[in-house]
Amino acid sequence: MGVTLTGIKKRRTTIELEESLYKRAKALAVEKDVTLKEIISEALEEKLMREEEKKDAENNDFMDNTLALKIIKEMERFLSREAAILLFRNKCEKRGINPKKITEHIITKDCLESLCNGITYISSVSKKECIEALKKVKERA
Amino acid sequence: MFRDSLKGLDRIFRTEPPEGSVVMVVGKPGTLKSSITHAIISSYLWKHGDEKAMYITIEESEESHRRNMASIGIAVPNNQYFIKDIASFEQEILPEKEDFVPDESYFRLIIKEISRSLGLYSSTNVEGQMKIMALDSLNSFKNLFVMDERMMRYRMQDFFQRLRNKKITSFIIVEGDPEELIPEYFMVDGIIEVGIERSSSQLPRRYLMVRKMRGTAHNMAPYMLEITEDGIEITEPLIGLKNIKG
Repeated sequence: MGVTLTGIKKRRTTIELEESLYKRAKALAVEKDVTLKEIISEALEEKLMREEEKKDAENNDFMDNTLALKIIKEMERFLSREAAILLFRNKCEKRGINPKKITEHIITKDCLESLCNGITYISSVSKKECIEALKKVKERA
Repeated sequence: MFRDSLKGLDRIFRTEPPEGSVVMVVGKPGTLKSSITHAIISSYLWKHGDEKAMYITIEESEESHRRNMASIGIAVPNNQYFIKDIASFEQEILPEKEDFVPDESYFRLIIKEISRSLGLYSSTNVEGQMKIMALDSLNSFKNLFVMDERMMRYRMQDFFQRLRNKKITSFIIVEGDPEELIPEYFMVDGIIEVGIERSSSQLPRRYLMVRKMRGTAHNMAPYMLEITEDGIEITEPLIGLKNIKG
């Protein structure tokens, strides 16, 4: 492993490519006036990013559930969307609930309290106010 | 905020530190770092009923902090003083996987949530007059994440700057030997050192000294710190204290 002037660690590796793929990549490098290494790195970055996006989409597919979406929206009053989704998903997982299938019967008072416990660890909203807000979402559903 | 908080602190501070100062409170375990910070904040809040403070804890729960404060006679106005438990929040959002380690993305998320609660992103202070923040402690906060140390310092510096811009006076508690230089010393506006002096002829004595405070006229001498019936009090200069560099 080496360290460049920018401080980014780099690792050397050897890969085998199909002849035709190698030729296409090399031709693109020449056309763009960059090295083959840059073409491969960029392609790998793009692939990894796509995979991460796919994983995120799979993890958040419960957002198709209207009630889940409404609860997340309400939680966003107190937390960022990212944190609200993480908290909601974790709470469901810990209770063995599939977040895609939640209904107003599954979201019990106990569930709401547990969500608000998580929220009030960081947000300055009071637990009472938080429970009231989420209860209203459930009632409207 | 400082001069009229702890009884006798005006003997050390001749002028008030500027609003929005980032002040490190550093000392070894048991030197009253948290208690002094609570006492200064609580005193300020009682005099400013429309302002608020956020105390971010990592090592202890909110209940434990409130108990400790009560035990040394520090009463806080609950509707103005928010104690937030970041370690518990992190536990709530981490996936339940044995080998999972919270990386820089979690650090950024937690900083984002703290900033949001403090109203750092809004053009106005959304939480309503959030004037003070305390982080207890920087050591344990850093231990919550597995990430490059330089990147963490860079992001912390950015966070401190946003606190200054919003004129939120901040207390960053650091547990350690004040004599040991750490990079964060250069990132803050002030350093308050607290310690215990142990000489062979006398009982151990607690002291407080201000090592650095930008834009402030202050005394550099260590002063004795006592817990009285009225709370924490700064009494007289500690004479003959060894190993203290001003």
